[in-house]
Amino acid sequence: MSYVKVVDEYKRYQMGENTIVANNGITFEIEAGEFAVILGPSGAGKSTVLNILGGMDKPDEGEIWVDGKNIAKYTMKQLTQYRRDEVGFVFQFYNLVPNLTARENLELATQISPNALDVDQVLASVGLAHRMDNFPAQLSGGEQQRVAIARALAKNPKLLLCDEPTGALDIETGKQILKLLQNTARETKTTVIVITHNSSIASMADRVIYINDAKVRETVINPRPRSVEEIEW
Amino acid sequence: MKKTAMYKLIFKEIVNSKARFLSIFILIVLGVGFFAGIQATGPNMLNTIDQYFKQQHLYDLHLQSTMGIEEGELELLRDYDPVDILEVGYSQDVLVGENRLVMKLIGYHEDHQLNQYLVKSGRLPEKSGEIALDDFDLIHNHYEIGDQVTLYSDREETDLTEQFNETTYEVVGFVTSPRYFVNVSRGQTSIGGGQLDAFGVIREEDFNLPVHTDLFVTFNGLQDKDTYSDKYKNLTSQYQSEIEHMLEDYAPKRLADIKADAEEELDDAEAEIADGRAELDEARAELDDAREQLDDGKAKLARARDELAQAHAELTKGESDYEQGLATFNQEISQAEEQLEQGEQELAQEQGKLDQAADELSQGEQELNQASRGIEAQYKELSNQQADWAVLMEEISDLLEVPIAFIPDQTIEDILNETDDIELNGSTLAALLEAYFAEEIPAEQVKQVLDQVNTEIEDGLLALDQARDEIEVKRSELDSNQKELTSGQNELDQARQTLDQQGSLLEQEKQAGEADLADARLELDQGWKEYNEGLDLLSDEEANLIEAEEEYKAGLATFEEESAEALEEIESGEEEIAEAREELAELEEPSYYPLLRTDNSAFLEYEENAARLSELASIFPVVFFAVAALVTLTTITRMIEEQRGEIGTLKALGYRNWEISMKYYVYALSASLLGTIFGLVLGYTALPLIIFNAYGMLYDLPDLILTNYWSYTLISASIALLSTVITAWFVLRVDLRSQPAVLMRPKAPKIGKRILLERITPLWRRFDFIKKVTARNLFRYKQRMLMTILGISGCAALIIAGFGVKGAVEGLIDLQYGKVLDYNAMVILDDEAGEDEASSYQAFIDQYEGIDQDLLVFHEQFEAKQDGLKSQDLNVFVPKSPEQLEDFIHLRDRTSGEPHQLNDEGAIVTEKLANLFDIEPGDKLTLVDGDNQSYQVEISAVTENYTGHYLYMTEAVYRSEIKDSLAYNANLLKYDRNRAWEDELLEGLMLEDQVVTVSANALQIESFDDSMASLNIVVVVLIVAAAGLAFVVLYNLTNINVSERIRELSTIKVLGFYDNEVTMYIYRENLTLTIMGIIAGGVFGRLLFTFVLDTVSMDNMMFNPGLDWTSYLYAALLTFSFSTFVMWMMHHKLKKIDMIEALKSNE
Repeated sequence: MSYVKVVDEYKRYQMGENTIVANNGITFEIEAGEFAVILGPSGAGKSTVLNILGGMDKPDEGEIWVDGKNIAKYTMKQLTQYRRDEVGFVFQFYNLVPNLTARENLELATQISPNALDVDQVLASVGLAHRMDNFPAQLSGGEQQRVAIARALAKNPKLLLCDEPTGALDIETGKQILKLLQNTARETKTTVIVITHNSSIASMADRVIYINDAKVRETVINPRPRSVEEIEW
Repeated sequence: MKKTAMYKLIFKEIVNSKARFLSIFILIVLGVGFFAGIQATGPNMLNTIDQYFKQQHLYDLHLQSTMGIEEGELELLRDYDPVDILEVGYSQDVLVGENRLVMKLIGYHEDHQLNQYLVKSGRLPEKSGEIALDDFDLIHNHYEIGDQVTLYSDREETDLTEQFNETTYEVVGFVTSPRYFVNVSRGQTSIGGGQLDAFGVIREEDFNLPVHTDLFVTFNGLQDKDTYSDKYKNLTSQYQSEIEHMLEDYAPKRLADIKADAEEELDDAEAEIADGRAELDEARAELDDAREQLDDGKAKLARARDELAQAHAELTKGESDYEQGLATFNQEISQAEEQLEQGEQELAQEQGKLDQAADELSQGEQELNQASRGIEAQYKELSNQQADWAVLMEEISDLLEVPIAFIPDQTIEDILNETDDIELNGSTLAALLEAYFAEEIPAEQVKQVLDQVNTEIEDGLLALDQARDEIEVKRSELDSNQKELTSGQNELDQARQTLDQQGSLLEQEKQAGEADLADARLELDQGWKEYNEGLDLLSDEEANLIEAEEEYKAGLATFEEESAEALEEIESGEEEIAEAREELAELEEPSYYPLLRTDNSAFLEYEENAARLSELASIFPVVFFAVAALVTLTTITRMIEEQRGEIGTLKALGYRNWEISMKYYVYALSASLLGTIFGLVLGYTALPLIIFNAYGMLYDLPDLILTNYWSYTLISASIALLSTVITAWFVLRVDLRSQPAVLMRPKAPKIGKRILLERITPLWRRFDFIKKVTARNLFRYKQRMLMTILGISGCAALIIAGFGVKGAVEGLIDLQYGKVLDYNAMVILDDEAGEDEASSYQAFIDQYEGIDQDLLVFHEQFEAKQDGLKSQDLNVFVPKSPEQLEDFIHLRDRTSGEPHQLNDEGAIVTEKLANLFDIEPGDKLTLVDGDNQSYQVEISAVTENYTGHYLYMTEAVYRSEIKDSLAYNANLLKYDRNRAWEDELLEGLMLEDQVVTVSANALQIESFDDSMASLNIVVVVLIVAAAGLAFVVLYNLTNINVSERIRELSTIKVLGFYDNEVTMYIYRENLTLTIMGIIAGGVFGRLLFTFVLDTVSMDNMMFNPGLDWTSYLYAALLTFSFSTFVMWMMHHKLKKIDMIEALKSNE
């Protein structure tokens, strides 16, 4: 069984009198250690999928299997536990705690994580050892995102979920981030799922899941993913 | 141009942010309400009492005098221009009922206009013998309508019937008087325990006093003045001093009048005494007279007795003389009588003989006469017969010549009849004739017979003549005899005559003798009678004399006794007169006491209470309001900051600045205006009522008049608006100047930076990560931190001060009755009681099982005075044995705890009075008694005490400094038993005649608790308000904190923080702020407490200035629990945070 398996997942939002179907029977699988990209236009429902996968939201229907467990059946508390132990999140707007230094932002995560990595090493691995005592406001966007990734990684998660991680970054920086994510998947055997509307990123992925209009349109397995350097956008 | 969208936006904003709107609203309600309410309470109280006084027409000036009020004073005041209404009346303090309540009886009349009573139940007295009583608990406990109230005088020598027409009254109602509006005290009195318990209203006519005791006056032009206003006070005090001067001028005249009157009375008294003396002398003279008379009487009596004895002797002699005389007389008489008798007898004998002879003579005569008569008769008959016979013989001879045949029958018959009775030789002539007629015998025979008869007759006649001669002889014989007899008779008669003469002589003599004797007898009897009468008289006299003697002796004894008494009386009277004269000479002018309302300490105390509230109002609500305003300000600021984006958008859309700011103004204005209105309504009604009702226990006043005060309304409304609308304006002013683009871009997040704490590396290193985060977060939002600490500390300070005051007030009792007074009950004794009562009481105490100790003390109430300061009631205690006092009352220095020993060097005064008057050992304290006499006492030490003012001294000090006479009139008791036992003891004590009242400390504590409860309620109101504020503040600040950091919280949530960890992430900060707030609050609270205590403290109470740690504890616990409760609410809110939503947007 695949590491991540979403089966017939539905998510509907009640907006006044209208029901918006965000996910309309989504089904896909991702193997462990894969660098997967979920691709689709704005409003296609890909963030919803990611939120559900990350245990931040619950589907209305369907099964969400992660590492052999159906998290769709989890209680809020179990979901928190799941987020705490198994998931790392990276957001488009970093969401670093502004009052904490880079290192402290990592510590914020590691303090509650059972199998956390060494904070300094993780920071070094994202190339920010020298900035670890800086506050987020003192860092550039890319650096902030790297701290955010480091924060996600420091927990040593099995699943790293990234929501438009490069959305707020310039191309070069974006590339560096993507590289970091790709390397993470390769080197730490962490399953990385990245959401993007940028199709050029898709070529980097081991697996690309196309979502449009709340449904999975296509799942493509890339036998030979390109490296970041090869990508043009 | 319609801007409905804009209005919609405003409305939606309010609806969507209910919690914020509500919290602003509540903050304003609390701030405004508390401020206005507390501020209004004092003025409301003053206004209420002012209206009450006006409605009941309370006097402006009450005049009393040491000599009562007479026409002179009345006229004087009547002529004084400012006087409006003037009334005089009676009052007198008495003891009533079994429990001897001290009651002021006041005369009532319908026409009285001033000091009108409010009837609470029943009615006012309508006729003599009715009474309306003071309407308060103490009285209600003892009397109901229909009960009897009996008056007792406090002294045996006072006769109440001289002062009152009735001494028993029927309760007809319960009333309140504007003169007595303080429940705890009705004022002082000179009787009983010195404190009035109640007043009673009886008919004016039930009083029987020579002069009016009270005069009440109202002044013109004060009707519209507030009784507590300066104008009122100034005017009345001006009038007072004018009246004072007038009376001062009048006093000598009154004195002169009194002196004249008294002089007259004294003269009268002297005259009376002189009279008395005269009477006494007279009595003595009378007695002497009586003595003399008695002696006289005695002499006379003796004489009389002698005389009587003499008389008796004489009489006795007379009697014997008489007896003798009588005997002689009787003898003589009887002799004479005997002789006479003899004579008589002889005479009778002679007579008898004579009579016999006479009888014989008369018999002879009779016989002679008879014989003579017989012879004569025979002669006559014979003569007749001779004649008849001759006739008959002729007839018969004629007939015998005529043949028989020729004699008619008739003639025969006639002859026969005629001769039928002529007897003849044994037959009758008739028979012879018949026989003749029958021719048996011949005529010759007849003629023979007839002749024979004739011869016989003739013979007879011859015989008779012879007899006649014989008789004549005899007759002469008889006649000589007769002659003899007659001479004998004559002799006898002569003898008789002599005898009779002798008899009559005797008789005469006897009669004369008898008469003499009877006279003598009569005389003698008279003499006896007189003698007996004399004797009776004498014994009567003697009895009288004895009686008189006895009377005299009794009279003498009485006189001696009475005269001694009278003399004593006279002497004491003289002495009294002398004294009175001396006194009169020393008599001072009457003192007048024109008292204003302000001279009534209760009146001032009430004002002080109100002022105290106002002072309380000047600090508490300000702190309160400041906190509320501060938090409101923070809230408004935060709200506008949150809406930068919207403001930018609206700006970008082309809305003008004022249109945009409209929303915030309307929001702020509506919240603050609504809050202000609600706050004012609540504040002006609820708070004053709660507080006033709390004071209701102390005061007997009508319902509070609620008023709004424009000043407080304006102040509170403007502060409310300032903290909302002005804040909005200020914050908006900055934002609105910015370009829309800038506004729409998120405000750069506050840069995180190292805090000072981090530089203290060793400390910082010891912090675990979470602590570091907390610390960093706290210092990141310094402004909010400050706000929160300020808010919390303000509330904590209010709570601390509140509990502190409450504790200080409550602790007062514990301290007073725990640390200072160590006795259980004080028995007030009647110092006028007799020996029996006193020994009965002492026996009762000695024998009562369970009383451990008792101490006699002298207790008297004075006023302590010092220039420029309000005089204070002062209780003077003089223990009988000072060394024992320590067991009952602990005298010691409060700070050092060093005990003070009572000695003859001076008095020990209690701390509060020493503080008030700034007295130190060695200084002198001035005391004034009920008669306005003042004394100076040197103070030797200052002792710990919490309620009331006391002055302890030894008997020697009292005698030397105050008064020479001192009677122990109270007994302190010490025991360790339960309340039931105590109740029994108290009941037993009250039955003792010497006991006036008993006050058990346990009951004192209760009643004190009651009176303190009023202040407590104010404090409770304060604590509740502060707690409420603390809650709203914490909620609001936490809310702002959470909403400001929603993104951060979402992030950690995403990172896998559990709900409680998320809450704790914030709560840890809040907790830290709360602790800091409490610490700061502790400092503020301490200051506030001291300030409040200074303002609320009463003159006769010393609050322990120490703030108990429990006050801090309560404040800390309350604040903690509020902050926890708020966090619990926040926890629920945090659980529902939509992390996705929060994280999606850019900041």
